Amino acid sequence: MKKIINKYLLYELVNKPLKRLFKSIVLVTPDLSRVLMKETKKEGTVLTVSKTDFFNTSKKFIKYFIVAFSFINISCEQESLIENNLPYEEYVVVRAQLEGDEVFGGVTFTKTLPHTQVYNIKDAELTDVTAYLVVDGIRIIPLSYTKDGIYKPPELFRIESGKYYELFARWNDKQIYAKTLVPAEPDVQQAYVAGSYFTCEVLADNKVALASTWLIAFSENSITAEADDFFEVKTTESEIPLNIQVRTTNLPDQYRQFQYHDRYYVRVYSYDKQYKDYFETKNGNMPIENVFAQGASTIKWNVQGDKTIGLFIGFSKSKMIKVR
Amino acid sequence: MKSEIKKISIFILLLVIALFSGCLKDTSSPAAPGFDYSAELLTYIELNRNLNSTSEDSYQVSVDEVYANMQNYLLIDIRQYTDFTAGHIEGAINIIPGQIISYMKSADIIKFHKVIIIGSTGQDGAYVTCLLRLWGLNNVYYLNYGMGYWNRAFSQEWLEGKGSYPNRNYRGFNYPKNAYSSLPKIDFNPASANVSQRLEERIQLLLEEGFDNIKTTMKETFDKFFNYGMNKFIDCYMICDGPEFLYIGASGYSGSYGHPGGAVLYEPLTDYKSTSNLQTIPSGRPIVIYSLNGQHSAFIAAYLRVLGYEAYSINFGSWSLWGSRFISSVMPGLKKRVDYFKNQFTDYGYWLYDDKGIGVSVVRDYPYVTGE
Repeated sequence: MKKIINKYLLYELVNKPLKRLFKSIVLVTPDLSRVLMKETKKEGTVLTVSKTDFFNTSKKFIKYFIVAFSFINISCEQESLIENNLPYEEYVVVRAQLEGDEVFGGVTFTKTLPHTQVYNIKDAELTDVTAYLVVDGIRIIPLSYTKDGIYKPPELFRIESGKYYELFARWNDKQIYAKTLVPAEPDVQQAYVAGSYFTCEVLADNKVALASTWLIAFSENSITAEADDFFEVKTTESEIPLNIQVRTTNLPDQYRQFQYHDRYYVRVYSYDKQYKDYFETKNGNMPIENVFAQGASTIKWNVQGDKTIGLFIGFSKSKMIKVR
Repeated sequence: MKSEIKKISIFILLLVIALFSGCLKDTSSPAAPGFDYSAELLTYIELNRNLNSTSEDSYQVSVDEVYANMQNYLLIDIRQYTDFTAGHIEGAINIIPGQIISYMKSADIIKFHKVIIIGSTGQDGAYVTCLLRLWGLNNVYYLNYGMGYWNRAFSQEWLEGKGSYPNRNYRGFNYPKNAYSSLPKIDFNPASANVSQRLEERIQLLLEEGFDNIKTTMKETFDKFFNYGMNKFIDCYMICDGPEFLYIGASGYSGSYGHPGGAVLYEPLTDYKSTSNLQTIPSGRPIVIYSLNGQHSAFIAAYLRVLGYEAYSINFGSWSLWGSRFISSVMPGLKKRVDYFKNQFTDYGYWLYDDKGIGVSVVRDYPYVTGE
């Protein structure tokens, strides 16, 4: 009798809820629940489970439960990725780099697309922007659509260093504006090896931001490799030109061998000062992989306008400078 | 107890600040400034209007072409009614410049291959043609030399336009272009209209003012604007609308005349583009332009007027300055001296300047009709 009561209690208190749970699992992972059901012995309406069976079953159940729970959790994560509840806001994206004493390559006007849409320039480009440049607050240079969202002056137009360029644009009643200085060619005093990288000394004032790249080259026309990013962007607060040191990224190992030593060059880039803000925040939209890291900041663009982002920046670059 | 309350208060305060700052939306970038009317107008014209030819001759047609296509061309005679009734090309209709746009809006002009603007000298036609092209009509042309070239019965104005202005204030020095300056400010009414409406408003105003208001003479220009102390124009900006040999001046019996002191050379059409030298033309003083025969300068003056410049055209151009003395062996395109008028008009050879040959440069005697 005691045994029957125990069995009954066991059924009511443990197996019955388990059964319910298994049923619910059936809905999610049918195969797994089938395996679990095999582990229980059914006898009529009352389950007969021995004490050992019960513990074995419980142990197994816990294992299965953990596995099932993991599956459920993983599948839930996947669900949330597939589900499109992220809000989408359309932004105008403006891009232009104005290089001193070079032919103007144009301004690109595009718009952001929903993240579910595959990026295609034909969908992203804006073809009906009205835009013009103003040089030093005086000269008007109209810009017309060419292709892929790029707007250029109707004739070849050379950017002059030392001048300010403003961009005025309008798209769907949205006004867009940006202003930049195209600095003069950087005045590089010297460049030398500093361990695994190169350092340049450049004379500059507070209107510019400086950066540099390393190059491996035989000559100006025969460049083997060049750094694809800057290590740092430096500025000064001084109105009078001062010597600023700016370093390159580390030289890759393969170019540290002796045979490359006489092919070391640097190139110094002189940007509008606004570039520093952009450079220091440009990775702000990257996912935070380190959970202990502070949240990234917003990228500092220099284009103004409602729901408009972008960079309209002037720069000049030095000739290749031999590294001592 | 007090310190606990204080701690709790600080905690709540920090919590509230954190909550509120978390709820703040990302600050959007500052409001962008709007367009400048003059800049927008220039942008609209350069990108939407067909003035891209590098030759001003592209906008003119010869009397021979018109005579051969009278049925296919819409001929609009813009002269005064009395001049029109005194004699006009058969089939031409008389519309004064101020009424052309409203006529064009109602007329079925698509069936015509070209719309020809006929003036008395071609200069008035060039002025109106430029304005109509800026309005958006791409198939409009002016009759080269106007009625004065159609038949010698209407050549009197050209003959009277011939001059020989004293050369004492002419120079061989190449005066540099001005530094870049702002575009003229234009007041529009109503300011809220879109750019194409504002352009039409401006063109209509200039058509109503007419060519007579912008034509001037070199003598008048000297009297008004020449600074004899500095021996050059100070109070106006004089443009020699190339080609270069015009700037060098007539090579007559006493050698090259050069150009009026202070005059600056601009290459036809190309120098008036935004990417080249348009804004070296100053906006704060009158602009006086002379060209070979006054037609090109009238065309450019119309364009500059639309942009807000106070531009004038020297009537008959170099024909009024040097007349027949412009003809010389150094002049490009000269085939041979004129023969058509030689018995009536001595040295009427100026019209031979263009390098298309003598065939297009001689006044015709095509038929005309009188009355309405």
